[in-house]
This record gives sequence, C-alpha cells and structure tokens, in this order.
Amino acid sequence: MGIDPNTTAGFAIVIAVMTVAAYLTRIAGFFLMRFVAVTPRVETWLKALPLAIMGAILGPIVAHGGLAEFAGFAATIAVYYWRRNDIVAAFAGMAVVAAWRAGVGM
Amino acid sequence: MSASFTAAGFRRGFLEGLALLPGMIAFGMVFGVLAAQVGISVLGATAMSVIVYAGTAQLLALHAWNAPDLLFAVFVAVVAMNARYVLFGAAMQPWMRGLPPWIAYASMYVLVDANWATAMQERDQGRRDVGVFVGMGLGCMVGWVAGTIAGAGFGQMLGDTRRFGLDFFLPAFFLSLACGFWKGRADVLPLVIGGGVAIVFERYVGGSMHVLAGGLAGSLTAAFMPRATASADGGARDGY
Repeated sequence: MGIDPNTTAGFAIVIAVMTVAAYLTRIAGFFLMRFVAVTPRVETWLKALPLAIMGAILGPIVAHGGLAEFAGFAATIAVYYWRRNDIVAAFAGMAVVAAWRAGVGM
Repeated sequence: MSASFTAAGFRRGFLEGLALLPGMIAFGMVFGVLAAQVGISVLGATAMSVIVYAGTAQLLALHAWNAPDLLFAVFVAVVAMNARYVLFGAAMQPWMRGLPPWIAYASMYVLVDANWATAMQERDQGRRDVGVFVGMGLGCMVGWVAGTIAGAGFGQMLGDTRRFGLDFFLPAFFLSLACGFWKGRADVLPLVIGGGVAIVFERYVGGSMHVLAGGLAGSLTAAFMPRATASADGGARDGY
C-alpha cells in the first residue's frame, strides 16, 4: 500500500484508520454486552474487572522496575491512604521516582 | 433506576478531568516529542491527539511509522494497544442501560482509562450519571492536547523526560486507582491473577495483549470462585 504519511492526504488516511481502529475497540465490548443478561455471575465478573485490569497493567511494570520504581509505588500507596486523593498520590510517586533517579544519577 | 446524562454531572466530570491536567500534559508531551521525531508536524500531531484520542495506542503507532504496510501496521498497533477497551466497554454497558443508543455510542468515543475508572467508582457507589464520564473524557483531552502541542513544538529542548519521572505518572495513577477499588480480601484474587498472567504474557508472548489477557484471567477467576457471586457481597445496591 503506497501510503506516504508525509503528504496531507496520506496522513489524513492514516488518522482515519487509527480512529476507526480505536473506536472499534471502544464499542466492541459495549455492543456485545447488549446481548448478555447481567446474572449474579456476570455482575461478579464485571465488578472484579477494574482490579484485574489494574493488576495486569501494573504487574509487568513492577516486574521490570528497579528500586526507584519500587520506592515510587510505596510512596504512592502511602500518600493515597494518607490523603485519599489519587492525583496527589500519583504526583508523590512521580516526585519520589524523579528524586531517586537524580540521587542515584541515572 | 436507569442511567441519566445531566449537565451537572458533565461539569463535575470535566473538572475531575482538568484536575489530571499536569499528568495529561506530561503524557501528551511524551507523545508530542516522539511524534516530532518521526517527522509529524505540530498540526498533524495535534489533529491525531484530538481525533484518535488514544495515548498509548498513538505511541505504539509511531513505531510503525516507517513500515512498508503502514495502514495495516497502525491498525494492528491501535487495536492491540486498545484491546483493554473491549473489556472496559463490556463493564460500562450495564451501567449505561436506559440511555438512547446514539448518546451511548457517542459517549464511548471519549472512553479513556481515567474516565472509565471514574465510571466504575460511580457504579460502585450506585450513581449512574453518564455525563460525569463524558465530561471527564473531554476534561482529560484538554491536557492531553496541550501536552501534544508543547511536546511537538518545543519538546526537544527538555531533553530526557525520564529525568522528571514523567514516565511514572501513569503507573502511579493506576496504582492509586487500584487502592481506591480495593475493598478487602476478596480483591486479592483478581489483582494477583491479573498481574501474574500479564507478567507471563508480556515476557513470553510479547506485544501488548498482556493487559487484555491478565484482565480477563483475573476477573473470570473471581467470577468462577465458588460462592463468590455478587449477591454474597450486597451487589443489589447497584440497581441493575
């Protein structure tokens, strides 16, 4: 396919394809669930989904992370339970990682 | 009670999205810098961030930028990276039941990680105002687009953004969301199974399907545990 993303037309086509792909993933599960009855088991599944997804996002990051990331995660949890604010907690974690990297010199 | 869409909810969600501004700007800047490096103009990067509005998927698509089969490569990159949204949408659907389909499908256009997590928190508290979800999606877009412009325009001056820990904002944000979802010992299972399966998938399968695989494994394990049905933990409070 001879698409050159450096031309306006080519770039527009690339964006269109990306937009369709992204929108399909956004509505696919939504569409399919219209045909599913919400039984207690389905409800338990949907309730468990957020934490399972968070675990799946964080697992590999923890597995790859070094001491800086470990300290950052610890700070995030501590500040979350202190302030009960997810944004403040995320910033605390970020600050610890930045400080750690600056201190260790990486 | 069916789902609603109110202006008050939209406003509240929009402000919650704006509260994420610093993190969204940082994330947008990472994309903007990398987009400029593959030769995308400031206008082009901005257009992509507004229209596609899929941060991690856009980052992955940049890796495909010089592939000979460009359209196929970016399509696969976006679907693979956004595969988790299939699960997000599935969890959203019962919460949104009762809305006219065109509002529901239009609302799903602004689905991102942060407003999905907020929608799930609203669900767990028995609230069903979809305006919060859409408002937050658009509120998050403000910082994301501003960051894209800044990054594509003059991000090269910053040097390595890792130095500021910017790459850590999203993982830390997800972790604090997980703390918010945490309610007790029954939550160990989906979290640990989800994390474990994702680690194995990421190491031995590669690509970006590990979030989908871990999310499915963790949540299905919880659903198929004996006596772990929602009725046992007071699921009736949700009203659906």
